[in-house]
Amino acid sequence: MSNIITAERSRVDNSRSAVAPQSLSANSNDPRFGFSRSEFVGPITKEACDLHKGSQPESLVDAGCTSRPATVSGAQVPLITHAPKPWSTGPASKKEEPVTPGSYQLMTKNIRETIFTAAFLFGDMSAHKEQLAMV
Amino acid sequence: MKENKSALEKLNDQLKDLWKKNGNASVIAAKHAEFTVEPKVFIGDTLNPEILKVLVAHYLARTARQDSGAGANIEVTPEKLVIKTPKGRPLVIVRDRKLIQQYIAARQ
Repeated sequence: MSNIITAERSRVDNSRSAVAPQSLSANSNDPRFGFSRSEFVGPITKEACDLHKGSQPESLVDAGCTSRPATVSGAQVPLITHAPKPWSTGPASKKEEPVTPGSYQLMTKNIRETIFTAAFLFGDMSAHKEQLAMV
Repeated sequence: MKENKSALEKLNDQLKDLWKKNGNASVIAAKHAEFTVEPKVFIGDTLNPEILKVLVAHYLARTARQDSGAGANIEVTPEKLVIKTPKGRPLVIVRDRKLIQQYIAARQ
């Protein structure tokens, strides 16, 4: 149940984060926001710059892709060549390897022998005896 | 209800429990319900391979822990491990090298 709730929340968050920059870009010099456009944009990834190149040359300046870097509180922000990958925070959890065909070979010919084998390996032969009594 | 279960049904339940206890249990959570995934133990005339793997590990651990003489029913080489009946008929042939190495190391 918690997974579903989390998913719904993440959808809401995504929609909010997708809407906010558009409204800000339309009012980038609006004093109500308390910061300039360059402060809002912050560090720009190389991929984002490459995406803008050619198609919207005027937006490169705004996006901080040109020789004039974007600034945050007056300090220069270097261009990030590799975007951080939040999903690669640690090693993947170890999972049991699936059983490959042939690595565990059952030498039984019918269901009676299979039940016997299961009961024998488990250490409880009562099921096998019952099965034999039924036959 | 549970008292009326046959020995075969009890074995079925015990094997499912063993499978779950060995870390294979998974729960699918929906908004208003939870689905616990249970294995099908017997598939036709054969055992579910995942159950067989757990059973073999359980048997080997049991024989290593207890000095019951069951170890005499096991033939092991670095490539192959054969579990036999008390009469000497092969029941399971294991070629999982990781498991074989663990068994050999536990015996030494």
